[in-house]
Amino acid sequence: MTFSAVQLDLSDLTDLFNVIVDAVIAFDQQQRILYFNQGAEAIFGYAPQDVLGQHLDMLLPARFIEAHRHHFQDFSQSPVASRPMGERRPIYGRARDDREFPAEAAITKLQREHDTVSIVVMRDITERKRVEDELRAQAEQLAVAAERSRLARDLHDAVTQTLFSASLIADVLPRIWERNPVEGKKRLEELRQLSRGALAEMRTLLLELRPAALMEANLAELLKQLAASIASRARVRVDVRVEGQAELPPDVKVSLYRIAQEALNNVAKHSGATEASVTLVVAADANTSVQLTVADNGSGFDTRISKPTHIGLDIMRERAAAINAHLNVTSQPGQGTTVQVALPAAGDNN
Amino acid sequence: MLMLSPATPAPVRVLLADDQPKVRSALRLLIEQEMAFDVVDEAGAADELVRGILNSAPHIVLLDWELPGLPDAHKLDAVRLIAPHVQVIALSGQPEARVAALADGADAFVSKSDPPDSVLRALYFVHDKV
Repeated sequence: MTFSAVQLDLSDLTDLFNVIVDAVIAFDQQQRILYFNQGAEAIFGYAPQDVLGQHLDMLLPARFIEAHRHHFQDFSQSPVASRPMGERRPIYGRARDDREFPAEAAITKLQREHDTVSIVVMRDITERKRVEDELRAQAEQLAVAAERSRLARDLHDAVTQTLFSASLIADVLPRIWERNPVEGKKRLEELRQLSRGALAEMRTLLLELRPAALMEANLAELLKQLAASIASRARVRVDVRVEGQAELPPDVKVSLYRIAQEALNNVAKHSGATEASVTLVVAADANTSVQLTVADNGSGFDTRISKPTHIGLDIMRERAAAINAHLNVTSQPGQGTTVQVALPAAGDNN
Repeated sequence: MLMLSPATPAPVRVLLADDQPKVRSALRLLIEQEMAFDVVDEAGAADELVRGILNSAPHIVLLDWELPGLPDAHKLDAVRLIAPHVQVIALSGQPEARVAALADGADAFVSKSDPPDSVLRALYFVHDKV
Protein backbone atom coordinates (compact mmCIF):
# COMPACT_ATOMS: atom_id res chain seq x y z
CA MET A 1 0.00 0.00 0.00
CA THR A 2 1.50 3.32 -1.00
CA PHE A 3 1.40 6.37 1.22
CA SER A 4 -0.80 8.35 -1.17
CA ALA A 5 -3.37 5.63 -0.98
CA VAL A 6 -3.75 5.95 2.77
CA GLN A 7 -6.92 7.76 3.64
CA LEU A 8 -5.98 10.15 6.37
CA ASP A 9 -8.26 12.02 8.60
CA LEU A 10 -6.91 15.43 9.72
CA SER A 11 -7.09 14.30 13.31
CA ASP A 12 -4.43 11.70 12.49
CA LEU A 13 -2.03 14.54 11.82
CA THR A 14 -2.70 16.91 14.71
CA ASP A 15 0.18 15.55 16.76
CA LEU A 16 2.50 16.27 13.86
CA PHE A 17 0.96 19.68 13.17
CA ASN A 18 1.40 20.69 16.77
CA VAL A 19 5.15 20.19 16.76
CA ILE A 20 5.48 22.48 13.73
CA VAL A 21 6.29 26.07 14.69
CA ASP A 22 4.58 27.36 11.54
CA ALA A 23 0.85 28.05 11.59
CA VAL A 24 -1.18 25.21 10.09
CA ILE A 25 -4.76 26.15 9.29
CA ALA A 26 -7.32 23.99 7.52
CA PHE A 27 -10.55 25.37 6.04
CA ASP A 28 -13.39 24.21 3.83
CA GLN A 29 -14.74 25.47 0.52
CA GLN A 30 -16.62 28.26 2.31
CA GLN A 31 -13.36 29.24 3.97
CA ARG A 32 -14.61 28.29 7.41
CA ILE A 33 -11.75 27.40 9.67
CA LEU A 34 -11.69 23.71 10.56
CA TYR A 35 -8.33 23.36 12.22
CA PHE A 36 -5.89 25.74 13.95
CA ASN A 37 -2.63 24.32 15.32
CA GLN A 38 -0.49 25.58 18.23
CA GLY A 39 1.82 27.38 15.82
CA ALA A 40 -1.18 29.33 14.53
CA GLU A 41 -2.18 30.15 18.10
CA ALA A 42 1.29 31.56 18.75
CA ILE A 43 1.44 33.56 15.53
CA PHE A 44 -2.12 34.94 15.49
CA GLY A 45 -2.77 35.10 19.22
CA TYR A 46 -6.15 33.34 19.00
CA ALA A 47 -7.18 30.17 20.82
CA PRO A 48 -8.72 27.47 18.57
CA GLN A 49 -12.17 28.02 20.08
CA ASP A 50 -12.00 31.70 18.99
CA VAL A 51 -11.55 30.80 15.34
CA LEU A 52 -12.99 27.36 14.62
CA GLY A 53 -16.04 27.70 12.38
CA GLN A 54 -15.21 31.36 11.69
CA HIS A 55 -14.42 32.75 8.27
CA LEU A 56 -10.76 32.88 7.24
CA ASP A 57 -11.12 36.62 6.58
CA MET A 58 -10.63 37.28 10.30
CA LEU A 59 -6.98 36.35 9.85
CA LEU A 60 -6.42 38.78 6.98
CA PRO A 61 -5.88 42.55 6.95
CA ALA A 62 -9.08 44.16 5.65
CA ARG A 63 -7.41 45.59 2.58
CA PHE A 64 -6.38 42.13 1.35
CA ILE A 65 -9.69 40.34 1.86
CA GLU A 66 -11.05 41.06 -1.60
CA ALA A 67 -7.83 40.09 -3.42
CA HIS A 68 -7.52 36.98 -1.30
CA ARG A 69 -11.02 35.86 -2.26
CA HIS A 70 -10.03 35.96 -5.95
CA HIS A 71 -6.78 34.13 -5.33
CA PHE A 72 -8.53 31.43 -3.40
CA GLN A 73 -11.16 30.97 -6.12
CA ASP A 74 -8.44 30.68 -8.77
CA PHE A 75 -6.61 28.13 -6.68
CA SER A 76 -9.61 25.99 -5.86
CA GLN A 77 -10.59 25.83 -9.52
CA SER A 78 -7.09 25.23 -10.81
CA PRO A 79 -5.77 21.71 -11.36
CA VAL A 80 -2.72 22.59 -9.22
CA ALA A 81 -2.92 20.70 -5.95
CA SER A 82 -0.45 22.81 -3.99
CA ARG A 83 1.66 25.92 -4.11
CA PRO A 84 4.89 25.93 -2.12
CA MET A 85 6.34 28.63 0.10
CA GLY A 86 8.48 31.35 -1.35
CA GLU A 87 7.02 30.89 -4.82
CA ARG A 88 4.73 33.83 -4.39
CA ARG A 89 5.21 37.30 -3.02
CA PRO A 90 4.90 37.62 0.76
CA ILE A 91 1.36 37.85 2.01
CA TYR A 92 0.12 39.57 5.15
CA GLY A 93 -1.68 38.17 8.16
CA ARG A 94 -3.67 39.96 10.87
CA ALA A 95 -3.14 38.94 14.49
CA ARG A 96 -5.70 39.19 17.26
CA ASP A 97 -4.28 42.57 18.39
CA ASP A 98 -4.76 43.86 14.81
CA ARG A 99 -1.02 43.76 14.19
CA GLU A 100 -0.24 43.07 10.53
CA PHE A 101 2.70 40.86 9.77
CA PRO A 102 4.39 39.68 6.57
CA ALA A 103 4.20 35.95 6.03
CA GLU A 104 5.16 33.22 3.65
CA ALA A 105 2.56 30.60 2.94
CA ALA A 106 2.11 27.29 1.20
CA ILE A 107 -1.29 25.93 0.38
CA THR A 108 -2.49 22.52 -0.55
CA LYS A 109 -5.95 21.09 -1.15
CA LEU A 110 -7.16 17.68 -0.13
CA GLN A 111 -10.08 16.18 -2.01
CA ARG A 112 -12.36 14.39 0.43
CA GLU A 113 -15.51 12.41 -0.26
CA HIS A 114 -17.95 15.29 0.02
CA ASP A 115 -15.84 18.39 -0.03
CA THR A 116 -12.40 19.86 -0.46
CA VAL A 117 -10.28 20.89 2.48
CA SER A 118 -7.47 23.39 2.02
CA ILE A 119 -4.50 23.46 4.34
CA VAL A 120 -2.32 26.49 4.65
CA VAL A 121 1.08 26.46 6.28
CA MET A 122 2.15 29.97 7.22
CA ARG A 123 5.30 31.46 8.63
CA ASP A 124 5.66 34.90 10.21
CA ILE A 125 8.65 36.48 8.44
CA THR A 126 8.67 39.82 10.32
CA GLU A 127 12.05 39.10 11.86
CA ARG A 128 13.56 37.81 8.63
CA LYS A 129 12.34 40.87 6.74
CA ARG A 130 13.73 43.15 9.41
CA VAL A 131 17.14 41.48 9.16
CA GLU A 132 16.98 41.60 5.36
CA ASP A 133 16.09 45.29 5.39
CA GLU A 134 18.89 45.96 7.86
CA LEU A 135 21.40 44.10 5.69
CA ARG A 136 20.22 45.96 2.60
CA ALA A 137 20.58 49.30 4.39
CA GLN A 138 24.05 48.30 5.58
CA ALA A 139 25.09 47.28 2.07
CA GLU A 140 23.85 50.62 0.74
CA GLN A 141 25.76 52.49 3.44
CA LEU A 142 28.90 50.52 2.61
CA ALA A 143 28.51 51.34 -1.08
CA VAL A 144 28.11 55.03 -0.26
CA ALA A 145 31.15 54.92 2.03
CA ALA A 146 33.21 53.14 -0.64
CA GLU A 147 32.16 55.71 -3.23
CA ARG A 148 33.10 58.53 -0.86
CA SER A 149 36.52 57.13 -0.12
CA ARG A 150 37.11 56.62 -3.85
CA LEU A 151 36.30 60.29 -4.40
CA ALA A 152 38.52 61.31 -1.49
CA ARG A 153 41.34 59.26 -2.99
CA ASP A 154 40.79 60.90 -6.37
CA LEU A 155 40.92 64.30 -4.69
CA HIS A 156 44.23 63.40 -3.06
CA ASP A 157 45.64 61.93 -6.25
CA ALA A 158 44.64 64.86 -8.39
CA VAL A 159 43.64 68.22 -6.98
CA THR A 160 45.76 68.07 -3.80
CA GLN A 161 48.94 67.31 -5.77
CA THR A 162 48.30 70.09 -8.24
CA LEU A 163 47.41 72.72 -5.67
CA PHE A 164 50.36 71.69 -3.49
CA SER A 165 52.71 72.17 -6.46
CA ALA A 166 51.09 75.50 -7.30
CA SER A 167 51.39 76.75 -3.73
CA LEU A 168 55.11 75.84 -3.60
CA ILE A 169 55.79 77.76 -6.80
CA ALA A 170 53.70 80.74 -5.73
CA ASP A 171 55.66 80.83 -2.49
CA VAL A 172 59.07 81.26 -4.10
CA LEU A 173 58.03 83.09 -7.28
CA PRO A 174 58.54 86.67 -5.93
CA ARG A 175 62.16 85.87 -4.98
CA ILE A 176 62.85 84.18 -8.31
CA TRP A 177 61.31 87.07 -10.24
CA GLU A 178 63.51 89.57 -8.43
CA ARG A 179 66.66 87.70 -9.35
CA ASN A 180 65.72 86.46 -12.79
CA PRO A 181 62.58 87.75 -14.52
CA VAL A 182 62.97 85.31 -17.44
CA GLU A 183 62.94 82.33 -15.11
CA GLY A 184 60.17 84.07 -13.17
CA LYS A 185 57.98 84.28 -16.27
CA LYS A 186 58.62 80.63 -17.04
CA ARG A 187 57.53 79.65 -13.54
CA LEU A 188 54.50 81.90 -13.73
CA GLU A 189 53.42 80.02 -16.85
CA GLU A 190 53.87 76.76 -14.93
CA LEU A 191 51.74 78.18 -12.14
CA ARG A 192 49.06 79.22 -14.62
CA GLN A 193 48.97 75.70 -16.09
CA LEU A 194 48.78 74.15 -12.64
CA SER A 195 45.83 76.29 -11.59
CA ARG A 196 44.00 75.60 -14.85
CA GLY A 197 44.74 71.92 -14.37
CA ALA A 198 43.38 72.02 -10.83
CA LEU A 199 40.17 73.57 -12.15
CA ALA A 200 39.80 70.87 -14.81
CA GLU A 201 40.46 68.15 -12.23
CA MET A 202 37.93 69.72 -9.91
CA ARG A 203 35.25 69.86 -12.61
CA THR A 204 35.91 66.23 -13.54
CA LEU A 205 35.53 65.19 -9.90
CA LEU A 206 32.37 67.24 -9.50
CA LEU A 207 30.88 65.19 -12.34
CA GLU A 208 31.44 62.09 -10.20
CA LEU A 209 29.44 63.72 -7.43
CA ARG A 210 26.60 64.57 -9.77
CA PRO A 211 26.36 61.79 -12.38
CA ALA A 212 23.21 63.34 -13.88
CA ALA A 213 25.41 66.16 -15.19
CA LEU A 214 27.22 63.55 -17.31
CA MET A 215 24.06 62.73 -19.20
CA GLU A 216 23.19 66.36 -19.80
CA ALA A 217 26.59 67.56 -20.98
CA ASN A 218 27.97 67.48 -24.51
CA LEU A 219 30.34 64.54 -25.07
CA ALA A 220 32.93 66.61 -26.96
CA GLU A 221 33.07 69.10 -24.06
CA LEU A 222 33.31 66.29 -21.53
CA LEU A 223 36.21 64.71 -23.41
CA LYS A 224 38.07 68.04 -23.57
CA GLN A 225 37.66 68.57 -19.85
CA LEU A 226 38.75 65.01 -19.14
CA ALA A 227 41.83 65.47 -21.34
CA ALA A 228 42.75 68.72 -19.54
CA SER A 229 42.37 67.01 -16.19
CA ILE A 230 44.54 64.03 -17.18
CA ALA A 231 47.12 66.33 -18.77
CA SER A 232 47.38 68.20 -15.48
CA ARG A 233 47.67 65.03 -13.47
CA ALA A 234 50.28 63.27 -15.51
CA ARG A 235 51.96 65.97 -17.56
CA VAL A 236 50.96 64.24 -20.74
CA ARG A 237 50.00 66.33 -23.71
CA VAL A 238 46.49 65.23 -24.65
CA ASP A 239 45.02 66.40 -27.96
CA VAL A 240 41.29 66.13 -28.49
CA ARG A 241 39.84 66.01 -32.00
CA VAL A 242 36.11 65.87 -32.68
CA GLU A 243 34.61 65.25 -36.12
CA GLY A 244 30.91 65.50 -36.80
CA GLN A 245 28.15 66.14 -34.35
CA ALA A 246 25.00 64.38 -33.27
CA GLU A 247 22.93 64.17 -30.15
CA LEU A 248 23.82 60.80 -28.62
CA PRO A 249 21.59 58.83 -26.25
CA PRO A 250 22.58 59.42 -22.60
CA ASP A 251 23.69 55.80 -22.00
CA VAL A 252 25.97 55.90 -25.07
CA LYS A 253 27.44 59.21 -23.96
CA VAL A 254 28.10 58.00 -20.41
CA SER A 255 29.62 54.70 -21.58
CA LEU A 256 31.93 56.39 -24.09
CA TYR A 257 32.98 58.93 -21.44
CA ARG A 258 33.73 56.14 -18.94
CA ILE A 259 35.77 54.21 -21.50
CA ALA A 260 37.78 57.34 -22.37
CA GLN A 261 38.27 57.97 -18.66
CA GLU A 262 39.53 54.42 -18.03
CA ALA A 263 41.83 54.54 -21.07
CA LEU A 264 43.25 57.95 -20.09
CA ASN A 265 43.73 56.80 -16.48
CA ASN A 266 45.86 53.99 -17.87
CA VAL A 267 47.81 56.52 -19.93
CA ALA A 268 48.43 58.57 -16.78
CA LYS A 269 49.19 55.70 -14.43
CA HIS A 270 50.91 53.00 -16.44
CA SER A 271 52.01 54.14 -19.89
CA GLY A 272 54.72 56.69 -19.17
CA ALA A 273 53.50 58.39 -22.36
CA THR A 274 54.38 61.98 -23.19
CA GLU A 275 51.60 62.41 -25.71
CA ALA A 276 48.11 61.05 -26.09
CA SER A 277 45.17 61.76 -28.34
CA VAL A 278 41.43 61.41 -28.05
CA THR A 279 39.48 61.28 -31.30
CA LEU A 280 35.71 61.23 -31.55
CA VAL A 281 34.19 60.70 -34.98
CA VAL A 282 30.44 60.94 -35.24
CA ALA A 283 28.79 60.17 -38.57
CA ALA A 284 25.39 61.77 -38.34
CA ASP A 285 23.50 60.67 -41.41
CA ALA A 286 20.30 58.65 -41.29
CA ASN A 287 21.99 56.27 -38.85
CA THR A 288 24.45 57.60 -36.34
CA SER A 289 27.70 55.70 -36.00
CA VAL A 290 30.34 56.69 -33.46
CA GLN A 291 34.01 55.92 -33.16
CA LEU A 292 36.12 56.88 -30.16
CA THR A 293 39.88 56.38 -30.14
CA VAL A 294 42.32 56.95 -27.31
CA ALA A 295 45.96 56.51 -28.33
CA ASP A 296 49.27 57.15 -26.57
CA ASN A 297 53.00 56.94 -27.32
CA GLY A 298 53.82 55.19 -24.04
CA SER A 299 55.42 51.89 -23.13
CA GLY A 300 52.58 49.69 -24.39
CA PHE A 301 52.13 46.12 -23.23
CA ASP A 302 51.81 42.61 -24.58
CA THR A 303 48.07 42.16 -25.09
CA ARG A 304 48.51 38.38 -24.87
CA ILE A 305 49.89 38.28 -21.35
CA SER A 306 48.56 41.37 -19.62
CA LYS A 307 46.01 40.78 -16.90
CA PRO A 308 42.83 42.46 -18.17
CA THR A 309 41.64 43.36 -14.66
CA HIS A 310 44.87 45.18 -13.94
CA ILE A 311 44.29 47.88 -16.51
CA GLY A 312 40.52 47.85 -16.42
CA LEU A 313 40.24 46.23 -19.85
CA ASP A 314 37.34 44.04 -18.83
CA ILE A 315 35.49 47.03 -17.40
CA MET A 316 35.92 48.89 -20.69
CA ARG A 317 34.71 45.78 -22.59
CA GLU A 318 31.63 45.54 -20.37
CA ARG A 319 30.82 49.20 -20.90
CA ALA A 320 31.19 48.81 -24.65
CA ALA A 321 29.04 45.68 -24.70
CA ALA A 322 26.33 47.46 -22.73
CA ILE A 323 25.80 49.88 -25.62
CA ASN A 324 26.39 47.23 -28.33
CA ALA A 325 29.71 48.73 -29.27
CA HIS A 326 32.87 46.89 -30.13
CA LEU A 327 36.08 47.55 -28.19
CA ASN A 328 39.46 46.91 -29.69
CA VAL A 329 42.79 47.33 -27.89
CA THR A 330 46.03 47.24 -29.84
CA SER A 331 49.37 47.46 -28.12
CA GLN A 332 52.90 46.10 -28.17
CA PRO A 333 55.76 46.68 -25.78
CA GLY A 334 57.39 49.96 -26.75
CA GLN A 335 54.75 50.78 -29.34
CA GLY A 336 52.15 52.69 -27.33
CA THR A 337 48.53 51.66 -26.89
CA THR A 338 45.38 52.36 -28.88
CA VAL A 339 41.90 51.80 -27.49
CA GLN A 340 39.12 52.05 -30.03
CA VAL A 341 35.36 51.78 -29.48
CA ALA A 342 33.12 51.52 -32.51
CA LEU A 343 29.39 51.92 -32.20
CA PRO A 344 27.77 50.80 -35.44
CA ALA A 345 24.85 52.69 -36.92
CA ALA A 346 21.59 51.67 -35.29
CA GLY A 347 20.45 49.71 -38.35
CA ASP A 348 23.62 47.63 -38.71
CA ASN A 349 23.94 44.28 -37.06
CA ASN A 350 27.70 44.26 -36.94
CA MET B 1 90.85 88.44 19.16
CA LEU B 2 91.13 86.41 16.04
CA MET B 3 87.84 85.65 14.29
CA LEU B 4 87.83 82.48 12.28
CA SER B 5 85.19 82.50 9.65
CA PRO B 6 83.77 79.01 9.57
CA ALA B 7 84.00 77.30 6.20
CA THR B 8 80.63 77.22 4.46
CA PRO B 9 79.39 73.70 5.10
CA ALA B 10 78.68 71.59 2.03
CA PRO B 11 74.96 71.59 1.22
CA VAL B 12 72.90 68.74 2.51
CA ARG B 13 71.98 66.33 -0.28
CA VAL B 14 68.28 65.81 -0.92
CA LEU B 15 66.52 63.18 -3.05
CA LEU B 16 62.94 63.87 -4.18
CA ALA B 17 60.66 60.86 -4.53
CA ASP B 18 57.16 61.52 -5.90
CA ASP B 19 55.39 59.94 -8.85
CA GLN B 20 54.12 63.28 -10.15
CA PRO B 21 56.70 65.28 -12.12
CA LYS B 22 54.92 68.55 -11.34
CA VAL B 23 55.27 67.91 -7.61
CA ARG B 24 58.98 67.11 -8.00
CA SER B 25 59.49 70.18 -10.15
CA ALA B 26 57.81 72.46 -7.61
CA LEU B 27 59.68 70.91 -4.67
CA ARG B 28 62.98 71.27 -6.51
CA LEU B 29 62.25 74.94 -7.19
CA LEU B 30 61.42 75.56 -3.54
CA ILE B 31 64.47 73.74 -2.18
CA GLU B 32 66.88 75.21 -4.69
CA GLN B 33 66.22 78.64 -3.18
CA GLU B 34 67.83 77.40 0.03
CA MET B 35 71.63 77.51 0.15
CA ALA B 36 71.75 74.77 2.77
CA PHE B 37 70.28 72.13 0.45
CA ASP B 38 71.06 70.60 -2.88
CA VAL B 39 68.62 68.43 -4.81
CA VAL B 40 70.83 65.62 -6.07
CA ASP B 41 68.32 63.17 -7.55
CA GLU B 42 64.66 62.44 -8.26
CA ALA B 43 62.62 59.23 -8.23
CA GLY B 44 59.12 58.56 -9.58
CA ALA B 45 58.71 55.04 -8.17
CA ALA B 46 60.13 52.72 -5.50
CA ASP B 47 62.72 51.07 -7.78
CA GLU B 48 64.05 54.49 -8.83
CA LEU B 49 64.18 55.47 -5.17
CA VAL B 50 66.43 52.52 -4.34
CA ARG B 51 68.67 53.25 -7.33
CA GLY B 52 68.74 56.95 -6.46
CA ILE B 53 69.79 56.30 -2.86
CA LEU B 54 72.57 53.96 -4.00
CA ASN B 55 73.81 56.26 -6.76
CA SER B 56 73.42 59.71 -5.23
CA ALA B 57 73.93 59.03 -1.52
CA PRO B 58 71.41 61.62 -0.27
CA HIS B 59 71.32 62.77 3.35
CA ILE B 60 67.59 63.40 3.16
CA VAL B 61 64.82 61.71 1.20
CA LEU B 62 61.65 63.69 0.70
CA LEU B 63 59.34 60.74 0.20
CA ASP B 64 55.79 60.71 -1.14
CA TRP B 65 54.14 58.22 1.24
CA GLU B 66 51.99 56.94 -1.62
CA LEU B 67 54.96 56.40 -3.96
CA PRO B 68 54.06 53.59 -6.42
CA GLY B 69 55.88 50.36 -5.68
CA LEU B 70 56.26 50.88 -1.94
CA PRO B 71 54.75 48.07 0.16
CA ASP B 72 51.53 48.78 2.06
CA ALA B 73 53.20 48.28 5.42
CA HIS B 74 56.75 48.77 6.68
CA LYS B 75 57.31 51.12 3.80
CA LEU B 76 60.80 52.13 4.91
CA ASP B 77 62.32 48.65 5.32
CA ALA B 78 64.12 48.68 1.97
CA VAL B 79 65.31 52.26 2.43
CA ARG B 80 66.66 51.53 5.92
CA LEU B 81 68.39 48.40 4.68
CA ILE B 82 70.49 50.27 2.12
CA ALA B 83 70.78 53.59 3.95
CA PRO B 84 70.23 53.19 7.70
CA HIS B 85 71.05 56.81 8.51
CA VAL B 86 69.25 58.65 5.74
CA GLN B 87 66.69 61.14 7.08
CA VAL B 88 63.23 60.50 5.68
CA ILE B 89 60.59 63.21 5.44
CA ALA B 90 57.29 61.58 4.57
CA LEU B 91 55.04 63.67 2.37
CA SER B 92 51.41 62.80 1.82
CA GLY B 93 48.22 64.19 0.34
CA GLN B 94 46.43 62.41 3.16
CA PRO B 95 46.98 64.14 6.50
CA GLU B 96 45.88 60.97 8.28
CA ALA B 97 48.98 59.16 6.96
CA ARG B 98 51.04 60.98 9.63
CA VAL B 99 50.57 58.33 12.31
CA ALA B 100 51.54 55.43 10.04
CA ALA B 101 54.51 57.31 8.61
CA LEU B 102 55.97 58.16 12.01
CA ALA B 103 55.25 54.63 13.26
CA ASP B 104 57.11 53.23 10.26
CA GLY B 105 60.13 55.30 11.25
CA ALA B 106 59.88 58.46 9.16
CA ASP B 107 61.86 61.31 10.77
CA ALA B 108 59.29 63.96 9.91
CA PHE B 109 55.94 64.25 8.19
CA VAL B 110 54.49 66.98 5.99
CA SER B 111 50.95 66.99 4.67
CA LYS B 112 50.51 68.27 1.13
CA SER B 113 47.64 70.35 2.38
CA ASP B 114 49.95 72.21 4.81
CA PRO B 115 51.37 75.59 3.74
CA PRO B 116 54.64 75.45 1.73
CA ASP B 117 56.91 76.63 4.54
CA SER B 118 56.14 73.43 6.44
CA VAL B 119 58.28 71.60 3.86
CA LEU B 120 61.18 73.94 4.64
CA ARG B 121 60.59 73.66 8.36
CA ALA B 122 60.77 69.87 8.11
CA LEU B 123 63.94 70.09 6.01
CA TYR B 124 65.67 72.33 8.57
CA PHE B 125 64.42 70.12 11.38
CA VAL B 126 66.12 67.02 9.98
CA HIS B 127 69.07 69.08 8.64
CA ASP B 128 70.52 69.29 12.13
CA LYS B 129 70.41 65.53 12.51
CA VAL B 130 72.36 64.89 9.31
